Amino acid sequence: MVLTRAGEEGFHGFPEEYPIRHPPGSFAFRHTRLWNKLGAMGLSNFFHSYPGLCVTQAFFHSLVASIVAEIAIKAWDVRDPAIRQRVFLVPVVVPVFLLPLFHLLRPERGSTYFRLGTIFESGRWLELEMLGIHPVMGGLVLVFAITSLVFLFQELIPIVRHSFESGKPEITVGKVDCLEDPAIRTAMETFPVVPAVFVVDDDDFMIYSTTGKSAAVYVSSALVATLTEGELRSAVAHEISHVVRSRHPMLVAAYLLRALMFFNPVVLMEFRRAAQEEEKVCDEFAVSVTRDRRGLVQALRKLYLPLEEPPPPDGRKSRKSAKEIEERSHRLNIESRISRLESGEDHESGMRWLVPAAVTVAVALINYYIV
Amino acid sequence: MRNKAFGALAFAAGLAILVIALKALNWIPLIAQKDLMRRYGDFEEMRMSLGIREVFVPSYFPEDFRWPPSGILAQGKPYPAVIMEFERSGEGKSREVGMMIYQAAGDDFSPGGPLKISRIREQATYSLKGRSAILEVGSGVKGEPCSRISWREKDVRITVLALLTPFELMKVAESMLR
Repeated sequence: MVLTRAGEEGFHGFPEEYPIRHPPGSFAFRHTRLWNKLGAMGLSNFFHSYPGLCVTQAFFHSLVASIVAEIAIKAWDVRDPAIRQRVFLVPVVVPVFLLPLFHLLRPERGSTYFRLGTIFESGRWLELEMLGIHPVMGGLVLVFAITSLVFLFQELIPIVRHSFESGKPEITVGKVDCLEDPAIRTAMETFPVVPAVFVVDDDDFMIYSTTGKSAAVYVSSALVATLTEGELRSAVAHEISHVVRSRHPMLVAAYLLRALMFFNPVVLMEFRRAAQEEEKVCDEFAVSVTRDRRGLVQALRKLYLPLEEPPPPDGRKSRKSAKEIEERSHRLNIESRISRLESGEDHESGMRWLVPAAVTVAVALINYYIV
Repeated sequence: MRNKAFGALAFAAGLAILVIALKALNWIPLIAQKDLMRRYGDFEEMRMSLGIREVFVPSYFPEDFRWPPSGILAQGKPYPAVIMEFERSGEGKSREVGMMIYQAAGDDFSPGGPLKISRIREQATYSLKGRSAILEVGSGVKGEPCSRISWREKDVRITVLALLTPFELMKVAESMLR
């Protein structure tokens, strides 16, 4: 160790950053060294730049927010779908604002001393080097790339396609008048929008809604022929609630912020969980309009739960395809909705804002010390 | 009401466990990788860990400051950097960090820390034994004189920040050069 004054003989500077694994001067040495340097420096430069910092911290902040949300759901045993949805949206929305807010409150948040005093410093993991590579950096880039592709192909392209197709009129064969029931008519008068309900000539069971300027609900003729009047009314009321809620400013803002975090796998997962709760919120909405819980249960059973096919006779377990897994997951979701409707769980009105607010405050406080 | 209170308690306990788990996760890379920023007891310990062979130090210390530094922080990644903290040790003076000297291979290295110029009154380019240095004169958090000088020396940038007048600071900086 030489404690020195600058300009003295024998100054060697800092040690080489990358270890030597091939004889110096050989092609392999130069080649490996170049690629190691380019790869490591490229990634390292990205993660040390402001956009890289935003992306990394947004990921870690939403990960912590997701864990905090889960703790809150378990701690308060939250079952109300509206509250659960708000809690699931905290990891989607809050991390977008945290980094700029923290930098505003404490500009030196990125300094060495601040980082040393934090609960978790992402840089320590990102700089981890094994066998000449940065596995955490590389892993994160891979995860971000896959998530971006999932967002592009599963969300963005379908939405763009849907917006183009929703402009084209459906070929309809009739119209359902839900306003015959005076109670429903009164309830619907309070809605900001009451979409028309059309019957589409189709042998499959289906019901769906389109949003936007020409919002409408479409029901297949086969479904109309199968459901009773009460069941059809409940199913239509559920779809109408989707149309009404699609104009909810909080949900629209949540989706736009979600799109900003297209690279973030935690946001992708939490947004999908929030979307699943949306179905339950719409169920509650439909029941509050029709006052017919049983009608919606029966409609869901007929629409989504046809009798399961018996297992193969030889009893061998066949490999499940992705489609089968998706169908199974969908079925579980429907069964959970039915079970919830049948149990008639009440709203936890006292916790409507308490739990999301507690989660938001905890997320902001903990994430302040995560850099 | 009781359920809400119990829920709040469970929530607080869950958060405490989360914070402890995050702290543990933050500690793991320090075991796996030696060259991350951390505190060292002395220069020898730092040299053994990081292989940084040379550190620029002053040969002149104003009154209230003395060798060795009260704190040493250093890292090898993403670029080598060393921070030395010097406490004021004069009679009747609180033992607080009054001088920081840091050298880093990265130009954007900003350690922050216990010392900072809260108001810069003057900034000038100054020739420090032939090197082009940037001298900043201002005041510290409590209003006391605080100055900073920074220059590039071969492949590192050296910065001296101290609760000193610019005249005293220059003497410290010049004693680091030949």
